[in-house]
Amino acid sequence: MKDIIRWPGIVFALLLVCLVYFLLEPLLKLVIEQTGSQTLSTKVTLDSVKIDWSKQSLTLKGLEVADKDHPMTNKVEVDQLALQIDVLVALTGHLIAEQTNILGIQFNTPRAESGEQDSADKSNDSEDTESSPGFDLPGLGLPDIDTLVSKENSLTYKRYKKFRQYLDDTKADYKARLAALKDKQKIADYKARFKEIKKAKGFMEILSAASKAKELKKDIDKDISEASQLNRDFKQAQKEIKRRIAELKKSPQQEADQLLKKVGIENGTQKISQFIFGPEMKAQMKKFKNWLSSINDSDTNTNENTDNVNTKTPTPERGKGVFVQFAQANPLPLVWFKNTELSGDLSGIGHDFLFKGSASHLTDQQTLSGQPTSLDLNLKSDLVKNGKVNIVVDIRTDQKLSLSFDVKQYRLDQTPLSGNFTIDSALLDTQGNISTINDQLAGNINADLNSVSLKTSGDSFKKYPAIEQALTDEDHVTAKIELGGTIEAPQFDINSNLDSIFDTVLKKVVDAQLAKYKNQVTDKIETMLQHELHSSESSQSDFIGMGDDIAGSKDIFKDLIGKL
Amino acid sequence: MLTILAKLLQFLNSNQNPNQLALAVCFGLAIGLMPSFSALLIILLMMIYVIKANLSLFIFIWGLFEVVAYIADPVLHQLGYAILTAESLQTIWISLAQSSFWILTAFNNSLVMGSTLAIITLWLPVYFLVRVFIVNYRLQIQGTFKQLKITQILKGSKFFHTYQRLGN
Repeated sequence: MKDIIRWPGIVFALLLVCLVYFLLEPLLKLVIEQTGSQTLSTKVTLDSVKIDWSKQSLTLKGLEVADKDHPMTNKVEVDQLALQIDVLVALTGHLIAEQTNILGIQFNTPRAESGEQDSADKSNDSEDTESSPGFDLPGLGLPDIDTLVSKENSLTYKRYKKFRQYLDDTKADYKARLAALKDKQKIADYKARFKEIKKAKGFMEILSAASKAKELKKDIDKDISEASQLNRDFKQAQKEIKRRIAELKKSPQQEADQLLKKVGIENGTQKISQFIFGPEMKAQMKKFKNWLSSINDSDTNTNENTDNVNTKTPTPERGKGVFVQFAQANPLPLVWFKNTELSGDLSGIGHDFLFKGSASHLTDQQTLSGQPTSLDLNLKSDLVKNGKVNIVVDIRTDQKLSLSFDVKQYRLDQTPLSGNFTIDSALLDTQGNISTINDQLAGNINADLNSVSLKTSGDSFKKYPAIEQALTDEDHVTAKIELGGTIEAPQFDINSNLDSIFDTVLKKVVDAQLAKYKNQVTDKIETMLQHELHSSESSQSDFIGMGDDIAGSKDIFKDLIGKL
Repeated sequence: MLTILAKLLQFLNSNQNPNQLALAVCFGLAIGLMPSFSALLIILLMMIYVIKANLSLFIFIWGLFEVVAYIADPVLHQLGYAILTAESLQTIWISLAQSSFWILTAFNNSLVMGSTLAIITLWLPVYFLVRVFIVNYRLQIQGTFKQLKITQILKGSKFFHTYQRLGN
């Protein structure tokens, strides 16, 4: 044995083991940094690693994961990460822990040095500068009255012209009939016949004269009945003209109504809530979409190829060889924290909350852990009384994400909602749930704002001060938001009590405007009609004047009869 | 200074029986061929500290076989890859892949597998060949070397005297 074993060597080997024991921490630090960087395709750094052999626990301090797209920013930073692990498994590059405490989580913190990796996949996404459409109150498409009402196109004028035609034709007709009735020649002829009858002497002449007188009387009677008929017809015609004038006087109103039918409300919003809450919803959905994409990307990137045997011989780098992958009975994800207590700060992602809670099955490869990841967080802030968030992520199934939240009395101050609306102050209660099934988005959010002070801005509201007043007077706002569409193109159906307030006030304002405009249009048409009627007054007077002549024509013939 | 160097050389040149020299060559071959990222290398290094083998010869052979490994890299890779992808051996490899220890040895790396096979194949033949060579050298050739002029010059040096004094 003495010839084979070098006893000092054993001592030296033991010393080496002790050295490795003490070097294990830096070694693990290196392994975690390298594995993490490779897995996430970004720089992962640690301040220190501490191993507690008695508890088999590992404490990582100062963990920083750089943002691929912004190398001078950390996507996430953790003050302390304490976990109980299997060291041998950890040395193979798998960080699996039954119990983990993650403290001091922060997002988007600045880095001291760039976290750029050579293989970093620089995203082409830039900050979406899509601006929400400017808000414009619906208004009436009110054309200029002078353009709208023109003599050439006026219905009333056309009716007037028909009336005028009728009047002229009627006048001409009665003139002709009167002229025919009061024909001087005919009357002279009657008088001559009468004289002749009066001259009759002798029995035979008297007999003949009687017959002639009878005939004359018959002719005159005929004319008298003609004159009566004429008189009756004339009275009818007078009535008809009066009726037509009365009809004509109604025409401006009718025409104004018809014209206003063509003048509708412009394509303005039917729901003001869409404009108040829509842009904020779009912004939140965009953040949600980016977060969801980052989860999906990391799992896709880190899925190991656990297939057996590669079929072709690859050419390796000298001294490196090629690793042949073999199926593992229970392949492990690279990172898997089964039960985690966590705390941190969400201000880096635009939410001014501290959070504390628990998570289960935090992993980069759910396909290997075989469990959904869930988070239950309590939100804390000076601005909120109570807030809870629950998130379940399971990318193995169709329903990849389920998020629910409940926040009570969140104080909002000077919070812009969109270009034209700002909440000066309010207390918000909101609950909701959002889920994704494949790419389809579903969910609903209820928001209840109490003690609201809503401010409007922009020229749109100067047109309608009543609306501005009604909105700013309202101190309780409720909104119900239904989510639909896809993650790429989310759709929101937003209903709020502001809609009914807005519609009511807008309707009053618009109705008042329309009424005023209608009066203006009607006045213009009436003025035009009056002018035309005035120009036809002489013609009307002529026609009316004919009445005396027509009435008098009967008397002429009655006189003649009387003489007979 | 000379004393320290002599002492170091003395230490390195201890364990000079043929078995120890042969072991030194075998370990030098093994560690030279084995890639650095395998845990097997650590095991081999631990063994060289524990087992009595001539360290100076080991270091020399180790250096030599590092060069050999660089040259033989493609052959070792081909050999290892063929073994790892052999259908009849898949069951064995899959069962080894379930163990964290074997994963640490990087057995599924083509270079590690090729080197391991080469070491296993060469170990015994090299051991016996070296042993036979040393025995024959000492019996037949060593005397001739002692007569050479250069040997005389080296033996006359102060360093050699210090070395010899420490050996005695």
